[in-house]
Formats: sequence, structure tokens, C-alpha cells
Amino acid sequence: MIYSFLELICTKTTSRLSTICCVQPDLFDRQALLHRLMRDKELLEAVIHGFLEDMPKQIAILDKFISQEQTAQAGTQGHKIKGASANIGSSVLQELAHAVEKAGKTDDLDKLIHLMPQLHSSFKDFERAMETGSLCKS
Amino acid sequence: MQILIAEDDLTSRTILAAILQKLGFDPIEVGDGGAAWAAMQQPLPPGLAILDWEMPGMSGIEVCRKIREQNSANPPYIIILTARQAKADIVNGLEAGANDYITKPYDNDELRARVQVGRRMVDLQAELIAAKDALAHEAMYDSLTGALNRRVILETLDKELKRAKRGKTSVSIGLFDIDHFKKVNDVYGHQAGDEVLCKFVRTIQSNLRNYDYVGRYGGEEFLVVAPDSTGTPNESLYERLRIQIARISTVVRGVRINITASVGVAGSNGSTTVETLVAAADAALYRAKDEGRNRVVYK
Repeated sequence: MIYSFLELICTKTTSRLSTICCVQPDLFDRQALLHRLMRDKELLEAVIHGFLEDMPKQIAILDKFISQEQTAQAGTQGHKIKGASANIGSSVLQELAHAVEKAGKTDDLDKLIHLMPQLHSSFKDFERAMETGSLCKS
Repeated sequence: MQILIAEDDLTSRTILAAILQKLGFDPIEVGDGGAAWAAMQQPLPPGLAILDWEMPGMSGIEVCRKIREQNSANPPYIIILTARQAKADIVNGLEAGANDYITKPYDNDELRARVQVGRRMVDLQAELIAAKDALAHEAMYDSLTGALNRRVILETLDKELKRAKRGKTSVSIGLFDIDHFKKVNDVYGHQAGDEVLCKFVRTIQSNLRNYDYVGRYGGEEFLVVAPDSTGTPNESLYERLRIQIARISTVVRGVRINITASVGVAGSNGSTTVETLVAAADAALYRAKDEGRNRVVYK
């Protein structure tokens, strides 16, 4: 209900608001996800909500694998995060997770350690964007 | 139609399930290969399955291979979901027994088209199985009465004789002939005759033990095979059947038709063959007819 209300406000107000609402499509391509979900906006909200709830757990698992120097498992976990990110429509997260997957498969622990702050930070950006921009039509 | 989605990533699984639901499927979601395998072992498993290649524990490919090893008469249609696009991987997936594959990221239209192909194949398979079952039934049973046909009842007798020989037990048979059946057809018509035959068989079937058999030997002659008799022909069984048959009453166009049957019974010993046993029962049946019908004669 509140989402629909905010969506209505954003749609009907000026371009100033719409720029606030806009999210960089490489961080979150709302239109692509909406298209994939057959224009079902309620489902879109539910999917984003599920992603926001699940992803911190998945990143925590990845952190644990890296801290235990389990690079192969970290690669597999990177693959999983890549799939989720691709499906949600975040190419930034997808590319980072892909890099994690590759580093894990090549047993490159340094690279994995180097990638993790970027992954954390990009997910924070995604979360922040969802607090504002995802509620609006792009 | 139920469709299994085995995908360890929650977001991907939620999206896939939602899309498939919109396409009219009834998705069942699981998060790993072990759960997928368990879901496919249910008494009525989904006809369609989308298995992610990479899952914790058992991979989609391993689940697929295990399902194919079961060599089921009604195998599911399996689509492997994979980010791998190399030709060797795809070949590997298909060789594991997958019917199709979808590469990630998938396009909705492609997904829809591929699951529709799967649905068509599952429907077609169900039709083929039903046709095969119907043919198998037709090949074994008399289409009018539902009794075993002549070939099958004689094969059954042969098997039971061999079993009895091994187990040093015996088999008895009763050759039943409906008395004056031609008159039923001539006076009341063939439809009435058919109805009488069906009722006759139902009466016999409902009075047999689970391991006895009845088959149509020809026209209005029926053969009962009763294995594991106690060494002598099971007299009470055939006499009981004769009495039950005499109680059959078929009403056709307001006219009550009653029938009786003559029965020739013979029992096996160690050297009995199908031919000698049936010939003995036939001779006993001839005597039953000769002695006035509606009776059981033992050879």
C-alpha cells in the first residue's frame, strides 16, 4: 500500500523528484526486472524484499569462506551471488560476484580479499538505492 | 501441471517460480539437489523438472543421472538450468539424461517456449502410456467379459503347473460351459446373451480366491485355474461356483433369464501338462453334460 502511494507521488511530481528517484541502471535495472516479472509490481517489491533479506546472509557466508581460506567454496558462493544479482538486475553486483567466482576458481585468495570491500560497498549502495529509488518509476 | 524448481539461490528461485506460476504451472520449490531427488521419489512426482546445474550437495546433473538410472516407465521431462554455455558442458548435460537446457541469464520468451515444449512432451508421454496400458489390457483380457483371454489363461495354467511341480503341490482346473446358452442368444438376442456372459464371469470372479484365475476358453466356455489345491481337486470351490451360477438372474426387457452351468474338473499330478489336464477336464465336462447338466464332474 505504502509503496503504491509513494510510486504515485513520484510519478505525478516534477522532474526534480524523478531525478531523486532514479537509480543508475547498472546498480539496479528496474525496467529489466519489471519486464522479467511480466509487469507485476507487487511481485517486484516482494522479490526485492527477498533479495535484500537474503543477500547479507550470502555475503556473510562468502566472508567466512574467505577468512577460512576456502577459495574453491568462495568461488561457488560467488557463482550463487552472481546468479541472484543477475536475476535482480544489478550488473554492478553481478560483475563483482563474477570476479569473486573467477578468483575462487583460480585459487587467488589475494584477489578475493581485495574484492570483498567492493562487494560490501556496492551492496550497501544497492540497499540505499532501494530505500529511495526503487519505489519510483524510472 | 506440477513443475519442480531446484535452485539454491533464493532470488533466482523466487523469480523462476513466479514466472512459471504466471505461465499456468504449479511450481514446487527446493533449494538443493538432495531435496530435488527426494521430491522426484514421491508417489506422484512432478512431470517436469528444472534443475540448476550447480547446487550444494548433489548437482542438477547428478540428480538427473540418478533419475534416469531408475529407468521409470513414466520419466520426467528435465530441463537443466546453467550459466555454462560451452558446447562440452551442454553435451555433458544432455548425456546425463536432460531433455533440454536453458542458459542463464534466460529470456522469458525462451523460458516459456522451452517449458511449453516440456509440457507437450509430458502430455504426449501420458497419452502414449495410457494407449500402451490399454493395448496391454486388450492383449490379456477378453474385451466383453473382462476375464483373461484363452492364450493368457493357458499360459497361466502352464506357469502354475510348473510352480506346483517345483513345490510338490497341485493345481485344479474347472472347465465351465453354460447350459443351453445358444437358446439364450436365439430367444433373447445376442445383447442379452452378452449380458448373461458378463454376469456369469462377475459371479465366478467374486467367488474366487486372490490367486485363482478365470479365463474365457471359447464361446460360452470358461476355465478356472485354482493353484495350490491340497492334492485333490478343490471340490467345494467348483460346487460353490455351480450353485452361485444357478442363482444368477438377468432381467432383459422384463423377462428373467436364469442359467446353469456344467463343470468338468481335473487335478494335476507331477507329470501333468496343460494339454492333458485340459483334455481331462473336457472329458469330465462331457460327462456332466451327458448326465443331465447343471452339475460338477471330477476326473
